Amino acid sequence: MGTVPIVPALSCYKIGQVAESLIKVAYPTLLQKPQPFPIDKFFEKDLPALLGYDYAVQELPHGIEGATDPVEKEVVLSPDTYDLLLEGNGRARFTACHEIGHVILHARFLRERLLDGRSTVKLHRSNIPPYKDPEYQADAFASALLMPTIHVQNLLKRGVTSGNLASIFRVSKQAAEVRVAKLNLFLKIKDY
Amino acid sequence: MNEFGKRLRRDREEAGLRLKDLADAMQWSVVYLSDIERGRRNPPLPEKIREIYKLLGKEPHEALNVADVEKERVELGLVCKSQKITETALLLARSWDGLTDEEAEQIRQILEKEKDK
Repeated sequence: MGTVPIVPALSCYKIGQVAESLIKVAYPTLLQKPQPFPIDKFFEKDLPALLGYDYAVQELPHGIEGATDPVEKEVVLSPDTYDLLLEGNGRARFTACHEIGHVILHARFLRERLLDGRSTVKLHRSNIPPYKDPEYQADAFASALLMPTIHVQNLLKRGVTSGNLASIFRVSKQAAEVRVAKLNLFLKIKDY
Repeated sequence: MNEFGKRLRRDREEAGLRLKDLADAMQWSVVYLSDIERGRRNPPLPEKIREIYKLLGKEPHEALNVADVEKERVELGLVCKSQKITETALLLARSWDGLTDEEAEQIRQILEKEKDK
């Protein structure tokens, strides 16, 4: 496993708020009714207009589905991921949202350091606490963007299963299960 | 991103086409089209640019001009109405760097009249 830079600490709660702010700006009606986030449209249309990042499709090293370049200000998807994204595939949708997470949460921090020639501390992910791990943070962002907290909480109260969530928000079953598990944990801590 | 790439992306988006839509219509890979738009590849041949702009429902002239400037050369079609015109085009292509400003202006005026016809 490669190394990643340590980024400023962020809680999942804060990341959820950031994701919700983006939904409010880009597609406010999504907060009124549970529905899939149109990440395919966002990638080619709103990413440049709202965040000033370009999009591209290129061959990436084996196993890499997407990448964000904070210096070139560009988000790149592999051809397979791009095709699957347009087909509405849950995993590809999550990957694209994960990259948007890097743009919003980390790009400015990393860009400033790279352009100033300042170094960032890089470690193996196993040596970084999740709240300072850019990959963990970007996953939390993608999860909250695709499955907004307010909707998931309401749906869970109504007895909706993670399988139902997967089809409502067009995400993979695994992504829905993780979302439910983390949200339940958060609610338990909050209640406690 | 180079000027041609930027223009193509803008025109494609204005026409409401995604990368995949245009790539499929041109029978190109999405990566190839994306590379052209990012300036990682040279602009395509003039006939391909005309084909793209036909698909986009837009005039190709400005895009062709930008592509020529980007490639620092002009590609001339040599299927002309007559042998004389073909020879003139070739002669001009071979010698325009040696023209004075006055000579270039005289030729420009003749060509401008042709454009306005």
